[in-house]
Amino acid sequence: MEEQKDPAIELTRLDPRQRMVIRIYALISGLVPFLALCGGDLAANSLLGWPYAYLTGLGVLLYTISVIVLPGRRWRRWGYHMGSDAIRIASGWVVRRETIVPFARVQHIDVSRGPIERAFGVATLTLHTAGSYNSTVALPGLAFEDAGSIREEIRTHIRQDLP
Amino acid sequence: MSDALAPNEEAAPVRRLHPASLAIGAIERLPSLVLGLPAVAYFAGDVGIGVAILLAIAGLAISIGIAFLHWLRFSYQLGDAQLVIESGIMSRNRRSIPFDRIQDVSLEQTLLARIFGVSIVRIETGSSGSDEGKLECVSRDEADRLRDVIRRHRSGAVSAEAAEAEEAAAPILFSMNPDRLLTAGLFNFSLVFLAVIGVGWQYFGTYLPGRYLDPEYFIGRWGDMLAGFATLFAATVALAALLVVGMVTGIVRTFLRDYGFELTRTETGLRRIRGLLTRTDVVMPLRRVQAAIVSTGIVRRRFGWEALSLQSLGTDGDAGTSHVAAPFARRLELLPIFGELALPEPPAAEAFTRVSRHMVTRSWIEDGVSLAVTVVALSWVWAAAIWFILLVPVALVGAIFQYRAHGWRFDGEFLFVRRGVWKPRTLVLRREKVQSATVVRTPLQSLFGTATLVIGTAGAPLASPLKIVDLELPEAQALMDRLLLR
Repeated sequence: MEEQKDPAIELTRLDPRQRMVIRIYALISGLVPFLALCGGDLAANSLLGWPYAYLTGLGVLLYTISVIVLPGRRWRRWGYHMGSDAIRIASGWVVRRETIVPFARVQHIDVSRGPIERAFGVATLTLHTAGSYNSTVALPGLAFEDAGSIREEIRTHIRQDLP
Repeated sequence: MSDALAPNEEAAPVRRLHPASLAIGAIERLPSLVLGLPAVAYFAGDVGIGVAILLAIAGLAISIGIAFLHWLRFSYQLGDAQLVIESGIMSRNRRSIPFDRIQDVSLEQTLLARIFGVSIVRIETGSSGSDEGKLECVSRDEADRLRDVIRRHRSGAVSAEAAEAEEAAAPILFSMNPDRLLTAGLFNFSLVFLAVIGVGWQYFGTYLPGRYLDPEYFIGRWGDMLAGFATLFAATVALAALLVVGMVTGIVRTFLRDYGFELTRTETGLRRIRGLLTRTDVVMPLRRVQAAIVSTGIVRRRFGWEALSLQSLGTDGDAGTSHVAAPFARRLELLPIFGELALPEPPAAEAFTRVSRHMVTRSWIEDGVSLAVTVVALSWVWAAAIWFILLVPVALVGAIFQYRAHGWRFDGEFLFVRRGVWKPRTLVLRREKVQSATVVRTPLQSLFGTATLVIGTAGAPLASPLKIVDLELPEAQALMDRLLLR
């Protein structure tokens, strides 16, 4: 790989439509905690005599932040770079991760899309390696066509060099 | 079992497992029958112990009957180029394992199996499942024949005599005599028997009258005795007794596991035979070895004793994917094994690069926070929780020792990583065996400008992947690039 000393500059961002996908995921996954806080509000009122709406208010605040603010940040923190013989994937807002998977080490490749991803025309590329750590490395939020072309490109690199 | 037929005959005979498997199965079921009696008596209510025994025997008879059907319907056939295993009482399964795909054949003999002169045969293939081809019970001769046929096929036109000759000439890479076992046993000081007693108590305790489980019974009865027991002398005696029992346990366990330890070089890999009661005969194909791990202990290190295990793609019974190649050896004795592995031995500690000093600070902060949280949380329910702050000096000093024990070295071809205070271990990894790597930064590490490099290798335990913690961030990224990019 021709060395880019600062990979942060070189990283390709995810498809913009993925921002909406992340948002919808946040909407779904935040629903249960939100309802739990609402229920907790009722319980705190009847059992502890707390005034209404503190916990619900907290729930609304957290839910709003996780749906409105955080998805954009998380989307921005994703990035990938296709090198000449390895892919570099960076992600994570609080805990930052940067992974390199050499094409020659890829066992097989999945391109998958759930209903929400399909609705927005994006797909997830999953690389499987022989390692127990990083046995699957997922790169979500690629335009479906891009995911297909990346898969084809990696496939040409895969060699049969693992026992 | 007839060995008269040549293995290369057109229609290879279909064989069953050794009938001893039925006897062994029945004997192995006996304890559960005895232990199951109280349960049957309980569920059968007030029908009386006679009926309960009858029911239990009926249960045993049914399970033996099923085992017999399994035996009747299980057969294998050693063909020209493949092993065919047919099994299943109702739904039949026919599995073909081509010889080309067989990595090697491992044999295991439990004590019962040795009494009956039979072995468990494990066929190791490329996939990672452990029971791909398992023949529960074949005679010792038949097991050797299976191994020979498969090995001969793999080595092509080599004649049986030549293969046997090679076997006989196989150099012993490492072995353990009783003296060595005794020394190893002393270092394997273990108080595991306490746990065994605890588990036994839990299991059998339910069958004892309830009052024995009531602590007040003991306090009331032996309270005065306990007070007397607390004298210094008694405590010393108790400690000495504990020490002796710990040593004896260590020696017994070591002899049981490693008696007759012998590591030899075979044509495909390393072959290990060991065990006093249960003999195992395992072949570790060299092609599948991913990394070598030299481990020692905080005490045995001072005496120069080390163990070598191999991280491998294959499974080693229940031992996961780490195969012990030499449990207790001098470095000099490990060198021939490293030679066969084509790996260098780990260099001296001075040759390693230390990670960032922030590793210490980060540990202090993380341990401090978790200790504080624990103390505060426990204080609500347990007044004595405050004494946990006595752990503070341990955490402070421990972090420094952990830092000093941690280091890495990469010479372009081989990566060495050392880690651990109580059980120092050094991993030797060839660059080509690195599958992937990730640089992880927690918020605290971002603050310090450090990062942890996690390296994906095949066969490593999922819970503890290879890590180099708290490298300076540019160093971590540079090392990742050097490991994975050409």
